[in-house]
Amino acid sequence: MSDTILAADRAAVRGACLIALAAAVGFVICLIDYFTPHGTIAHQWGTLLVVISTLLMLGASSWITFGSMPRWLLILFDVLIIFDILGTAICAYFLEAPALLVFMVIALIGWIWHLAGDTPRISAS
Amino acid sequence: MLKTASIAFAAAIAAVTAGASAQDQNWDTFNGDLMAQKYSTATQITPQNVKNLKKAWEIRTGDMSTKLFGVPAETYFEATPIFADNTVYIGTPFYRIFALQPDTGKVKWIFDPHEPRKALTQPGMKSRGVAYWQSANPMAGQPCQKIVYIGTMTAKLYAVDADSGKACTGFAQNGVLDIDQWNTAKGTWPMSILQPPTVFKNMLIIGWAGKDWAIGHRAPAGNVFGVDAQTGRLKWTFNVLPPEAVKNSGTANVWASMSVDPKTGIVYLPVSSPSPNYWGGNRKEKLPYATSITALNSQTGKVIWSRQLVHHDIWDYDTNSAPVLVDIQKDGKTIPALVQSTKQGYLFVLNRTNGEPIYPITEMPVPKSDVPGEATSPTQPVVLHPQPVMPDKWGGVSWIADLVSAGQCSRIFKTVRYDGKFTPPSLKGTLAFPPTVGGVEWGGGAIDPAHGIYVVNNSYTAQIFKLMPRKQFDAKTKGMSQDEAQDYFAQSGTPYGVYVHNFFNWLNMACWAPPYGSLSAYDLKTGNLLWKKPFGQIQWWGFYMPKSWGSVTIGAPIVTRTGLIFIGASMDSRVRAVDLKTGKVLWKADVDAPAVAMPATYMYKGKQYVVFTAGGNPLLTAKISDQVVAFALPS
Repeated sequence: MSDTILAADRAAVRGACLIALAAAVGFVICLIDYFTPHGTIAHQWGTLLVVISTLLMLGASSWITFGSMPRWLLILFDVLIIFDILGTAICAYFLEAPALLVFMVIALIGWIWHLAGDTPRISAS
Repeated sequence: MLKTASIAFAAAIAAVTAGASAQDQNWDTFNGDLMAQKYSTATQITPQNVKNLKKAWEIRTGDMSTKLFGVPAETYFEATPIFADNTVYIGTPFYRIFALQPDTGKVKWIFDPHEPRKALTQPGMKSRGVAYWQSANPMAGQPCQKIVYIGTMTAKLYAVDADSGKACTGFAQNGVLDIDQWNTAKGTWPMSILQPPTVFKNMLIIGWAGKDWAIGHRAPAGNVFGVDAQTGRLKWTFNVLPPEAVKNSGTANVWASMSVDPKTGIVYLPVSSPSPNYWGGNRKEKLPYATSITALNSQTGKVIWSRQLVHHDIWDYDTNSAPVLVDIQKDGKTIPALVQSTKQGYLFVLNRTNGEPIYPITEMPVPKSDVPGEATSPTQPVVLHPQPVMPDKWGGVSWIADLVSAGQCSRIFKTVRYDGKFTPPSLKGTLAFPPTVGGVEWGGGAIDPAHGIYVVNNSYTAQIFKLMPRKQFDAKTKGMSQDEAQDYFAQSGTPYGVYVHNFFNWLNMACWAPPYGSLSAYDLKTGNLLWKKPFGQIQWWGFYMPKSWGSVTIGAPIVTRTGLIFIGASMDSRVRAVDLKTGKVLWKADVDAPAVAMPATYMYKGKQYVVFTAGGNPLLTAKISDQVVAFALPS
């Protein structure tokens, strides 16, 4: 028997799913902001930073939603994702990108939901 | 009390509004009018409805370079659009003229002189736009009864028919006047005409720009020329420097715009510093017109009065903007005044008929130079009231910049000399606050003449001036590329080169504490500061820094009769409308790049437009553009 999570708890999965959704929309917003001709934050290092941070958030939350992983990795991802959400939200505030900020708030709700529902079943494999 | 004051203010505005004339709602010179007031009597846009301003039209001229794509120099698009004869005219950094439809931005014609795209005297290709003249007695059916002029980096002045965009062949040599024919130091640099000439009656008054920071001696003397507006014939020359000084010095030129009192015909010149900029050991003779305001008879070029604003200038504290002319009410009298803002941050308020101070000028003892051969002036003229826009002392090291650079800012500060304002350049390095680029820049201030309220933006910046003995300088700069050497200036003909650089840490963060820029309003009747607020925002890597930090500002405000200030200037690529009474930002809009020119406003077919050029400044931000954008209230 290994400590592998099957992400069985429905609330935890839905929470992670919400994070993934918010991250995906946030990623698209950042991409648009980065490439908008003559945009106020187009081609800026800060915008590129949030492109990367939302992409990482999308990857991690998708993995939690659809994949399986050891518990220690899940905990690590939970911690990294909250840092990612808060960091991206702070960046969005200083980039004056309100839509991105809104989706980071949604991601934060997803993270709380995910954590509240995280009573994982340990798989037998 | 506040409510009563507001009602009184509104009533005063309503009273003066009633007298608005159509002619006043043009913007047919660089500064809006000859008196450089930057004031419009247009009243459609008010503090109440300004929040509804929308983009009416925009164009991109295509005349932009980021040093890529084969053009070897960046562009500095600093042109204020002018509105005359129902057309918007604008000059570009490629020295093309665009004539635009005022309500749509549709191009009527483009004039292209096919000038070389080289930065001969400046860090990049630069234009502050065009000038406009029209005949008082136009001949029907004849071309060039209305002329648009544009100057170039190569010292050419082109005259173009305002209706057709064709060259005015009767002007100089087939429509081109070569200003460099009057260069007293040929082979050094061309006398670049980046600032449009001042037009008064049938006279063009022409100053020029060079690179006085690079060549120390035998630079062209900063002569100013009076030229016939229709023929280009030279009518007079004003020699700024005495002949004996030209051997070891030069410049003291007029590179900024000028103002004219239309009633008296006096033209007011903001005269810059002499070369070499940062060491004056070879030019100890008196140069009374250098770094001065000088009043000339516009038709003869004869000096009426002159007042020096910096003695033996070794800081490059050019007088850098047109003085604002206004009649002020003081102690029951109407005084014909001018207000000269300066890089040092002082506001010199003078009687414009004789140059005498309306608010006292004090000769303040200043630190001595410790550089061999230098002889600093023991005192410098300062104005303590109105309150200077710059503080006496700098605000200290920024703790954030210091922290992220592991104390680099503090370490640098400990190595340099700083004894307050007018600390002379030194061999160990001198912290200059304000420096060459600080205080109030070339846009100057604006005035609400009805209320005597003067508005001005400024920057708080710090630079380090380090003189380097010739051998050391040559060894340091040997083999450097042009980009690497951009902060090193040879000051040829002197024992010292100079290294002038912004006081930044290794992350290119400003080492001085914010704010970086502000906007202030003064009551000229009393000289009192009405309000002063950090203005604009700095953007680092796209992140907007706190509003309390403000922004470095280039460009200038304009004022309207309804009590609004329109201004770009900040480095956050935004343009704003500000309440003249309180300093509160009432409206803002994003543009392509920092709008480092002053805007223009005009009325056309019953609608008021506010037009900005958003060109950026490659020295300060990466964002540059070729955008011209007009805002108006929705129909």
